[in-house]
Amino acid sequence: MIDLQGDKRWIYALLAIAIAASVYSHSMVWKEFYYPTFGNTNLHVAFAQHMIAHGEYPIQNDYSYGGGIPTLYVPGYRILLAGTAFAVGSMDFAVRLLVMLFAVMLPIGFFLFARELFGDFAGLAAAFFASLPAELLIYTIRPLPQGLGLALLPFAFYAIAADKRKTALILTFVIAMVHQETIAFLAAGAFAFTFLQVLADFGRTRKIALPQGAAWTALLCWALALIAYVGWHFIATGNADVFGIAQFQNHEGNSVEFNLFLDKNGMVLTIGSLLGLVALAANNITNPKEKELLLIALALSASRSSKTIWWACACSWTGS
Amino acid sequence: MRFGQLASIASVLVIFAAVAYYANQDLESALNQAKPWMNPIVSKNEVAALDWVKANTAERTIFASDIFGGELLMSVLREGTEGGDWAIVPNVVQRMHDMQYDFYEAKSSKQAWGIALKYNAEYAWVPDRALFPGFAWKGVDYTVFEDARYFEKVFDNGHRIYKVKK
Repeated sequence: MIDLQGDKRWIYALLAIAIAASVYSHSMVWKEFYYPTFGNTNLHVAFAQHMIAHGEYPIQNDYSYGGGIPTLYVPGYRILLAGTAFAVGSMDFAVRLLVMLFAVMLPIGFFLFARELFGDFAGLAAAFFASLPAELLIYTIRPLPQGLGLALLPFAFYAIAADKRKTALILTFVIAMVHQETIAFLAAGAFAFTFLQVLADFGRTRKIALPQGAAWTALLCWALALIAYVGWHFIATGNADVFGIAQFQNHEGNSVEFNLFLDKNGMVLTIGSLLGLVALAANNITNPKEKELLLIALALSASRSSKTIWWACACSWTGS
Repeated sequence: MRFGQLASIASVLVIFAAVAYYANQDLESALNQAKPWMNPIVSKNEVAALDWVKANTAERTIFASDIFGGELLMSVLREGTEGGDWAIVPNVVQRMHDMQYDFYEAKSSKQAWGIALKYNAEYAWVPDRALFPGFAWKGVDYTVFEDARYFEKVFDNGHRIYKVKK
């Protein structure tokens, strides 16, 4: 029998297989004569090329739609891409290499987070399940800031769950500088977790008090995410009207209905998520544990999103 | 080994096999859904045309383009009238409308020329593939660019580049 509790080598061997599965599913990024272009991939290439050519970040002159406007996008991914392209000497190779980086990071991050919540078996299941949601694959198989943000997200939630405050804050800031929508999801999840924890504590003690432990770390991450998000918007545009951009004005995104949910997450994660939520509710609904609250908070945050990608993330954790 | 133990091992194996079976199906579905996103859209001739662009135009030169053409041009530090982060662009829907219906689907060269000038384009990017200027996929109508009073062909390897006359 495999002793997953004693001999940890089996765990790492299975994790290695999960990583190999993720690399396999992302390997199609090498097949075309040109890297994927859907999702503005070349806009980020432009900024990376500009940094390599001129040694500066053109914050006041975006390359989009004829240029001449400030760039709103945070620079983290572009700096990483510029550095990678500079190091390997080829932009084409660099963008595809970053997709491979996402492929390796995803199962490791999902493993760490789910293991922190519910132990080794859950960690391994989450690592394998990371390869199943179509939506997660679609967003991480292209060389985009979303891919890096999504690959970093489980590491940040792991740090919050484990109450590793310094790491959680560093990862929050890094994600805030990589992709705005990803940090919005992290902030929503972190705030919901803190709120639920305060509510649960109130239910137990009948007193309202500042959260402790992981919930306090989550609240700090929420605050940092908010400051970084609005701060960058202000630096780039000179105003703090984050909802004034065309993306919000034109209501980008779709509502997530059950068929779309099933299509983008697959059978295993959909059923797993439902069973996971039932188990969470049945186990400790009147006296929930901190880590259960974090998972519920993420599921609730995803359910308010118009994009299936957040559902896919939440499903992978809840399902496992 | 007792019957109870055998039954529990068998149950675990059945559940594991069922999960593995459906997980494999889900993985296949995910791969099939991801495949179309790997399509680079741009053509090989279009990518080859970037050498001419780099040799003959300055950085930040603006090309009248569709979204994918504009983004390809960005990769060599030129700009398209379309492509990139639409969230930050004022009147972006009007711009897409102009490029779709009054440039690539213009009724005359003069109409397309007017749009190119409106957006300060020095060249027109006319690929050998379907175009997507923001509203719909369309084939290329080369006759739009054939009136020599408004456009001059400066590159053709299947993909064409026209200079916009001043």
